[in-house]
Amino acid sequence: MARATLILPGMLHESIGSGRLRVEGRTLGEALEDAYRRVPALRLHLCDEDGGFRVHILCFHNGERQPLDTPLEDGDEILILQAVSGG
Amino acid sequence: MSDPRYARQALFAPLGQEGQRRLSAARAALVGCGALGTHLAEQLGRAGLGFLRICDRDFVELDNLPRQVLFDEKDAADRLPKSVAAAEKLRRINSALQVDSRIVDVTAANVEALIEDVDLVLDGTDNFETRFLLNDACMKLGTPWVHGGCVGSYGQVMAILPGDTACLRCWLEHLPPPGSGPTCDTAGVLGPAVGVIAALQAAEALKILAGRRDAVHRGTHTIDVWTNIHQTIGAKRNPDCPSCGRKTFEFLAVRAGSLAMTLCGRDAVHISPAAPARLDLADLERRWAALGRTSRNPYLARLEADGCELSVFSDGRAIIKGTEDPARAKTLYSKYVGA
Repeated sequence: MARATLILPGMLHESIGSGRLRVEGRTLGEALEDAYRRVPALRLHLCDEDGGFRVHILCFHNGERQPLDTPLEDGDEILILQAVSGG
Repeated sequence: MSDPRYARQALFAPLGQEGQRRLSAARAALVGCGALGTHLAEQLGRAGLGFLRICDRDFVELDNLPRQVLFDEKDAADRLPKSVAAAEKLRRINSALQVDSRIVDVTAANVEALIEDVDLVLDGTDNFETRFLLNDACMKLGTPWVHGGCVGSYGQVMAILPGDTACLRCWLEHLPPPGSGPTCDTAGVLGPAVGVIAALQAAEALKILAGRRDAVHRGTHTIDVWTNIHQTIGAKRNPDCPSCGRKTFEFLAVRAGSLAMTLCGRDAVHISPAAPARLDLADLERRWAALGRTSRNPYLARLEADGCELSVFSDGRAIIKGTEDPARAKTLYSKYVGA
């Protein structure tokens, strides 16, 4: 089981209460499930009804877009970005 | 001979006299002249850009003034088109800048004609549908463009060089459905956040127009001026990208875009989104709570705002009553439903 840091976009800080979460899992997907267990509201912000990421939510594992079965190592960073449309 | 007006800027070695000369000969098109757009137009106009085409479908209103830096109270009182008001200010700021103001809704039908004679396209739009259209048009024509988006205290910037860097659809593959994300009119927006995002866009634009593509950031910047988080992240080209990879350019096909159709005799416009949606009407009504009178039944949510009545169905369709102008209806749809 690896320990990673999940970094959330600033727009979610107010509703989630934090910009960073310590998460655990053997894969990227397991680490995200751990985050949803710790903060259930996060799933509503990041996922659609089918359980996948919402279209405007982007997830990077150590700076790269990776599939959810990507193995996790201690110290990895999972970054969530939110593409916004205003202008 | 160097122009003393731009001496401080040209003294910056990576730009130099040669970069300044290129900038003064360069042509750009700005699509959308709101918060990001007015900042972009002013910064590049002051910097000595040669030609700027300003494309916008809206007119100035009082609640634009906290963020839209080229406009004033008289523009709002006169309800001047934004492209016209911006052009007047820019001509006073820099009489050497050639400004071509267009009161236009940029669509698949006209986008290529609006950008085919420029060196760069600047993103000042407020919706992803137009950005996907711009991306397709720029990939087809080989024209660089600089994307920016901003809501609340947060935004993103991405410079796109066709055939070289990732394009918008390499980064964001699918068009977010209407109502799926916050907009400036549902989540608010801070002027300083807009200023920072537009400044980063303008910096990337200067590099491209001055012939210094080597200095362009290859990826995205995201900045939140409230939580003080700044991320830069690379973006890889997707060989299977429908725009820059397979070059299918589906947003240039009129049918791929959303449709706005005037409903004869009803003083109303019907909007069909580009991608089908499944809206949470209760959530939509909650987001509208502070914006005007709202109501909801199991089939649609209704908002009275900006002198119109928006009735939004759960599949993303809307009937906007109080206007027969499709461009105004699309603006209201972008403001209050999003995407």
